[in-house]
Amino acid sequence: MDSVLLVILICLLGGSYLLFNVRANKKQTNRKNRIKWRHK
Amino acid sequence: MNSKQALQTFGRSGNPMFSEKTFSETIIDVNIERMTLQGTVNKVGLSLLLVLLTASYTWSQYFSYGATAVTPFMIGGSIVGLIFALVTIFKRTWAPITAPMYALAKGFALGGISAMYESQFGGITMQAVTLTFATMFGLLFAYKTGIIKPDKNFLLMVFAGTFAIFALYLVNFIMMFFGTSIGFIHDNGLFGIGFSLLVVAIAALNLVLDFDYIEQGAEQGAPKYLEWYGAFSLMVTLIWLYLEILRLLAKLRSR
Repeated sequence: MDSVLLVILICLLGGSYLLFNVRANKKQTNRKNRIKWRHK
Repeated sequence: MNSKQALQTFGRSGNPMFSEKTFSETIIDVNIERMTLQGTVNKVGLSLLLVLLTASYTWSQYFSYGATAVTPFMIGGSIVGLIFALVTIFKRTWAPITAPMYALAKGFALGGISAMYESQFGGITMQAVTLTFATMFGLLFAYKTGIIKPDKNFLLMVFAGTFAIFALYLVNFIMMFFGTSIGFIHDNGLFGIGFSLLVVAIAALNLVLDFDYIEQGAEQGAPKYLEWYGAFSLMVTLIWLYLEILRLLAKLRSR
């Protein structure tokens, strides 16, 4: 059980790493009602 | 364009707005290192490794010497972690130092807490870790593809939910000094499990706000130190989500 979960976890971590590095879809970034975060 | 090139292109201007300093300041501004997605992801990875490093220490101490050996690490880690978290929130420029310190401190607490749950419910830690990252992956996918679009109403809803939970936990903490507590928080009945599910959902929705903050920071070329701040905010949410999933699984297993 634990080894299966470990394989799933490694896949999730790898997938998250790749997905995180991809820019978000334009329908996400080009919205007018987007939250304006303060980056200071 | 440097000041020499500007002088050759535009000639010497009498306008006080265009002094040599104007261009040199612009050049300095351009050369500031900017926040990137890759940089932030690397810092999240590094923070996770730091948590794992100290967590594995308290984990092994628990199984070698028992609960009394790790209690000071758990309490100390939680308090020091809270201090570093507050410093990071109020002094974001210090995030490159305080965010890794927060991860190290929280690791001590998480290792002990996880070991305690593990000794009661074998295999629960691995299940909770996998569920935490599965939730993160699912919401990251939903965010990047635009399925979930956080706007001001979303922010308000998540903020209100998060604030309500923390107020409830605070009241529960104060009540514990008087020998009582809010029953359903720890209860393994249907209401208690429903409450835990709600808390997990709100913690998970906080991840979307973290993704949006990081994405927007990288888009707008925010200063480099905010990579550490973005990684810190994601770590805070992930740690909270992990603890809530751990509690939910424990409730389900103890029925």
